[in-house]
Amino acid sequence: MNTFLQLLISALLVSSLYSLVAVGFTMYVGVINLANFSHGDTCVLGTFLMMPLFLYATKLGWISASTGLVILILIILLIFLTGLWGAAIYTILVKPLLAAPRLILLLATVAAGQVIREAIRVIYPNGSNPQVFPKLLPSGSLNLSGITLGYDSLTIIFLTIICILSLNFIIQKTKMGVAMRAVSQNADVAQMMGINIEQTIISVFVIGSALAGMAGILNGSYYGITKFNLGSNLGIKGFSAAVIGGLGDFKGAIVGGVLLGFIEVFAAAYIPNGSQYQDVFSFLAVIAFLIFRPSGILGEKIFEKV
Amino acid sequence: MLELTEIRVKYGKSVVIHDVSLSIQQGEIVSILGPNGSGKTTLVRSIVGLTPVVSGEIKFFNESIQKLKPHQIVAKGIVVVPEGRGIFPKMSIEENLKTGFMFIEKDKNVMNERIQEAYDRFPILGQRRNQLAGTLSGGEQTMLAVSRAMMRKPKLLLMDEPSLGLSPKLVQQTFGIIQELNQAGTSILLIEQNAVKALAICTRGYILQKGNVVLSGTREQLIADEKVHKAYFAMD
Repeated sequence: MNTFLQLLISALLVSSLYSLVAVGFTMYVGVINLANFSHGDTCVLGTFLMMPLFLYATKLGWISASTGLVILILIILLIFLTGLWGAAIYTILVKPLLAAPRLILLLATVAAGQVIREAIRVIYPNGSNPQVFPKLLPSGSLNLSGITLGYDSLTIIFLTIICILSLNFIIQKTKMGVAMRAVSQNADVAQMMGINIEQTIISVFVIGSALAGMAGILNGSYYGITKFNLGSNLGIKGFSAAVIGGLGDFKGAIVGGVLLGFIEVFAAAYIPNGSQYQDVFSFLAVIAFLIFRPSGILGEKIFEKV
Repeated sequence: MLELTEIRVKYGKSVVIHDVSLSIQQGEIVSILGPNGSGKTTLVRSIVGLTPVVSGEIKFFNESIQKLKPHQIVAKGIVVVPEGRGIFPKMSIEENLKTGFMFIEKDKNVMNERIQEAYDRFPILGQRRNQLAGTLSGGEQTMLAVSRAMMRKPKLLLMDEPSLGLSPKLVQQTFGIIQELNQAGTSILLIEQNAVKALAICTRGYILQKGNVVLSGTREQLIADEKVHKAYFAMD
């Protein structure tokens, strides 16, 4: 029983990271029908932007003084920076190619991911090798009758829930959110209602990239390590979660992320030698969904009547 | 109020609107008639800026609008009931109504008043206000699309085939509403295939064929025209 609960916490942790990445993926698909394959690399970009910030803050002596608050400010600053990166990706890459076939734009995002990876290798000192990522999350753990709850895992799960709840509020209740949903359901009519489509798309890029940055640094500080090419795995897992949830479906992406996290953790634990090929199980799940339920796990289908 | 001067529209290399000129005066119902593929919907898309015009000019209240973005054009007082109704299927009825208002006007009290007006007009929409719009029947979707258009009390209403796919009774009702709106001061550009119905309520009309205006005139002139008579009324 204890092992099971322990695994549950691990699964929730992995699920959190995947969900954060998946939500961004699914939003791009929803609004401009684009799978942004630089999304995973944006996560890694977040870690490589965070490290110098942290180093600088340490140099100024801020980290020892009031660590928690400073780290919170650093995280907010980082979310802002990766958000800005999202706006840049839109302006430089997406906007000029918006009228082109989507495949071209998709390839352009693949290239953008490559640019991030190579830029890290060239610009960051010793960038080709793994880097030690600072411990941003509280250390130590809570012992509850034999179950160890790491403060870092709990913080990650908590922050993810906060992010997802706020994003849900934005999408459901704010004007910007209504605009995003309208554009994703019918972009032409959305414009006829007076929605500024460019503003709407750019805000999706800002939010998606900011969440990716968040996922990147949470991932980095949990494992204590980051590397220039870590993004391909995070990206492909986030994409898989979004596929399981039904591309373009916000809630589905979260459910997909959770499902993927649980499959991986429990497969690794209960299948002999499972940890050596845990990715196999998650991708099997993706394939199964693509074959049997391509509209996603929540997959209610409402077509516009003619 | 709206004036199109020799506008030309292309899809790729082929010209789909050939130097069409037309105008709508305040208080009129002007109908544009024509078969499928004659460019009627393209004309609507060009007016609101979704499909760019290659040459010519579009003026709204004497201001050139063809270089503006769609959201800027509709903010000037043009509202569209798009082809196929264009409701947002995964939003509730009430949210659909709000989309007709919130992106251009601010006053929440006015918005709630207008929503109430819509529910008074079509009680069924009020009963189902929290239901997803995609679950409505075709006729109900038309009620929703028209109600959404009325949220902003537009100066000019563009209606793209509102009768498409409706039962005769609902067509009758829809055209009744169009007349009512017009009497309340809204000018209307009515795109229709249903020439009999459209000619019954419009003040003037244009007949579009393969992207050309082949005939235009007052309602009486069009009805009296031999070609129109042959094409649209001979069966009656």
